[in-house]
Amino acid sequence: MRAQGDSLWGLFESAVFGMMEILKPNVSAGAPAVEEIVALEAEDTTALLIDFLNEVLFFAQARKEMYNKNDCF
Amino acid sequence: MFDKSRLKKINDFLWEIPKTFRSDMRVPARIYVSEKMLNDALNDRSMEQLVNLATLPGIVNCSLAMPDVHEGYGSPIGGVFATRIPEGVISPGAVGYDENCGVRLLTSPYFFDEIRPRLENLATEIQRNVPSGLGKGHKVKLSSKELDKILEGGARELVHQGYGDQEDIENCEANGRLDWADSSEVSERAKIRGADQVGTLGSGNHFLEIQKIDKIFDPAAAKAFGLFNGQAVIMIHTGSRGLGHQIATDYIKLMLKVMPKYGIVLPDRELACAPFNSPEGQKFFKAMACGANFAWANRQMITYYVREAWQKILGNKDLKMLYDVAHNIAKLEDNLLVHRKGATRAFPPNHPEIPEKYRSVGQPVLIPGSMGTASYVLRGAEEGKESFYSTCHGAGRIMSRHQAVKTLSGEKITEHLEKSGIVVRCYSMRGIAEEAPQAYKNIDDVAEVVHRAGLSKKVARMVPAAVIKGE
Repeated sequence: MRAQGDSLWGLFESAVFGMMEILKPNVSAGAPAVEEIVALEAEDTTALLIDFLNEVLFFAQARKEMYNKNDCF
Repeated sequence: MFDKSRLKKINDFLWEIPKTFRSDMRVPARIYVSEKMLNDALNDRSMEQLVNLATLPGIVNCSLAMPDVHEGYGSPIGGVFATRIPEGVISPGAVGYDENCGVRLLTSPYFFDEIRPRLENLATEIQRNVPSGLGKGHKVKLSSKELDKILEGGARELVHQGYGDQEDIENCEANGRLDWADSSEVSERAKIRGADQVGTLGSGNHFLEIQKIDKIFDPAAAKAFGLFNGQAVIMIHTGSRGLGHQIATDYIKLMLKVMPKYGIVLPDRELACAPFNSPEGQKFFKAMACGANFAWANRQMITYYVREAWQKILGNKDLKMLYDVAHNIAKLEDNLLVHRKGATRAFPPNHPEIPEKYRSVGQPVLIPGSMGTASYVLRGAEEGKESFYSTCHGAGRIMSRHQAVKTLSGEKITEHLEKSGIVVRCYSMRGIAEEAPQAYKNIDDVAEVVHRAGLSKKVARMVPAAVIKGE
């Protein structure tokens, strides 16, 4: 997977949606929105991105949820 | 692309990157590959990653790549190395995110032609009975106490509960259980991810196949393994699912944090590690053993579901376990800590860890091919000592998943496979494109290299009749 964005925020967003695409393509919209506040610390942005993706992956798998642009960020 | 001129040819199947290639190398790096396959191995970052392995504290002899090598996280997939204990390091990234990803082969008493009329029904029933999707749970949701029993008891625990027979345990690497596993070293998050995943196939390159033996290379070994030409067999390829992924995630993070304390400086943080005898090294070793036990239990539960499907369609449960072997693991062998990531242990004849009935011929080695291509059974050989008794694990990618999805059509590949008489059961066309045979090296070439290099010897070849894949 290759993700890009014009800011750190945009990059993280693209990476999450890319990961969702791999996990479960053709996700349908319309499910109730969910909210989760994630607080992470890492020594650099690469580590932070990896930790962030792992965090989202955990929620997706543990709660059987998928996130798309309408209900994420 | 790695510069071929920096490689020294040792023989027709072994090349070396000398220790002088980079100042931080502690040992040379070696790759088992034929001239024909060499370019594939040099095309991605796997040689650079192999050199990085050669810098790890405590590494002995050399870092090694198998002929199916390709770029992975930190360590190349197809990477093998050993560290001196107790002070040498243990690295979660060099075991892989899918701890004890591995293969199990079940043999039937039937010629494939006898079951051919029911093949479609059998494939459908197996797909229905064995859940496949990433993160998708199934019939069994374990309580925390039940899961801890699996983490510490592995496949053996499930057999005790009635999900298999004694032979399943006797014919499994480590008898389906690493006894140093300690479930208290596994995070709650990992346990949450694993609670409903025992008996699930997963996605990616994981699969179930009904295969037909189309060639016997070594009749004596085939006989010892219970294999015959034309036989119907079932191959199961999966690992420790979300639980193993979370264990690796947790411990890579921990290792990154503690490396400065131990004065470890690495060329690639993805190889984050700690000394084996450190508290962190020991914690990971115990947690990884839980991941490995979970994977053996997973393949055991899938075996149970496959036998149920077999009985429903064919009226009996006559599927015997030939062997089950890990591809991603770190184990103490001969006073060394051997890391194998995308590589198979291949003990030689007379090794005490081989089931007694196979001891005279060597450990069964199970090598799955890519979708729609052949798979192999090999046996361990004495010459494998130079690779810490390790051999290849599969075909090895030459195309990324992304590239495969972009350039190949799942529908067309399925059509082609079905025209060749192969039944395909997969919920996702994308999954088919990612695992297309064009995305992989030729398995026949890979098997030939390890056979001729002496790392393991060919016993039998299987061709697929039905492929059941995760999403």
